[in-house]
Amino acid sequence: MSEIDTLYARWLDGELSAEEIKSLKSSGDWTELEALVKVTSELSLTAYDKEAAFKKLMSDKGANAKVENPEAHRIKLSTILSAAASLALLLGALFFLREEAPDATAKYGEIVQYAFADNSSVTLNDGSSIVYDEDNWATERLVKLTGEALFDVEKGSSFIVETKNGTIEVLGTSFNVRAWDTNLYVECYHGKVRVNANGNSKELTKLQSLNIVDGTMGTIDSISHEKPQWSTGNSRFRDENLSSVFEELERQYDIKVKKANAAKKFTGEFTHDDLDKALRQITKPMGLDYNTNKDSKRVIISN
Amino acid sequence: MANGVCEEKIYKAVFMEYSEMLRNFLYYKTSDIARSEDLVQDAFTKLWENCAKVSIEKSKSYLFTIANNQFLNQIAHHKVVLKFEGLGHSDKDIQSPEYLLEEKEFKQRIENAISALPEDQRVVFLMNRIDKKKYREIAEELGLSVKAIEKRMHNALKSLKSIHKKL
Repeated sequence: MSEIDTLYARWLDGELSAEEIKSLKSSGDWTELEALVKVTSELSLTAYDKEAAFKKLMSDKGANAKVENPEAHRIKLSTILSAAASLALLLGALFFLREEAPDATAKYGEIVQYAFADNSSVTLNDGSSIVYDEDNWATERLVKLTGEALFDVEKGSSFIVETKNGTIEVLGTSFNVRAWDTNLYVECYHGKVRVNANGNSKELTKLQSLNIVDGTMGTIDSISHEKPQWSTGNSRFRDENLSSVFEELERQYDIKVKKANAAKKFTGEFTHDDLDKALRQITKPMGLDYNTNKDSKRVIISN
Repeated sequence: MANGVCEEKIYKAVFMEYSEMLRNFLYYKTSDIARSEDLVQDAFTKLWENCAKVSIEKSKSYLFTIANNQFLNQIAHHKVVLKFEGLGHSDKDIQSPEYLLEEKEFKQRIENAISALPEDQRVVFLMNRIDKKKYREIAEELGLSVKAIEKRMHNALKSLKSIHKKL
């Protein structure tokens, strides 16, 4: 291949001698080449979301056992739900650990799965995060939660979830935590859990729930579902302050809600994939009205 | 460490470093963005399965080899129709309807001309123009000599340079 064959290419890569450049410039192609190079240097492709692609890659792996790598314990994410004698509970309370960097965080509008070294796992609802001591996991399974999460716990030593409003000690294998504001709400699906708050303690068994508002424990109620509603695309509440319900709505849809009459209690649920429907689900039973602005980013609730 | 890629943190770092260029490379070949992104996922799944055998230094060329092999068994070649972004001019004051139309036509002309290049030239040309890679880097990724890259690049520039003339 003679040198002249690659003249344009070598010019573009800055490889030409002064003499070669001179002869190229005097040729009729110079202007065209310069213009072509300028225009094509502006070319780009549609944006690529690396983080999202990686997340998808990891969750596909979790769902597909055959691509699992035995050397990496923390990859397997969603395959543990069916563990025997599993125990699930749902609780609510907001956490304090602002100074520690979270080990796993779900951004607004996102649900994130995270697996611990012993194959226990946590599914974080949006806006929630956890902190734990990875190095001491084998001896002490302690997770500090901010927000709401579903826990799935493998058999072993005690598994403790700390929240600002109380501590949940798991006496079985799998559970789900939700925690915001001054409220703690626990649902137990299988097995048994003990809920401790303000020096009081109550045990929940299969399909029971307990709500703690401002440190006061309610009575134990029965439930009929075996999974938290948010993991199936709904948020569900029982005797919840209306302001907390709207806060959950703000997190789910990444919107701002201007609230009225927040002192009421709400029992019911709202969907995660249709803001209008969700607003109707909340306001209608409460006898309220709502208005959304054009881009649906701000909602005003009125009596 | 021989099996560093098996560490999730390192695996993720490799993904963050190479997934986009791999996706772009596959797009230059297929002009199908969804398929390209699927193939990236496939290539990284393979890397994971073989993480014990592939060193961090080798992972890039491994990924490109895997991606390239995806096409070896495929006969049907559909027509490549590439779409780009970033050709619009930011000067809003001069965006008369005529100007915008002209710009749109020019964008289409470029897309058509690049799509019509032979695959060898097209891939090399775009890896240089979009991913801003030096010939040496492209040569490494494609397992070719720098001379071969220069040749492809030269030919691509030669066929494209008259594009302004027709305007």
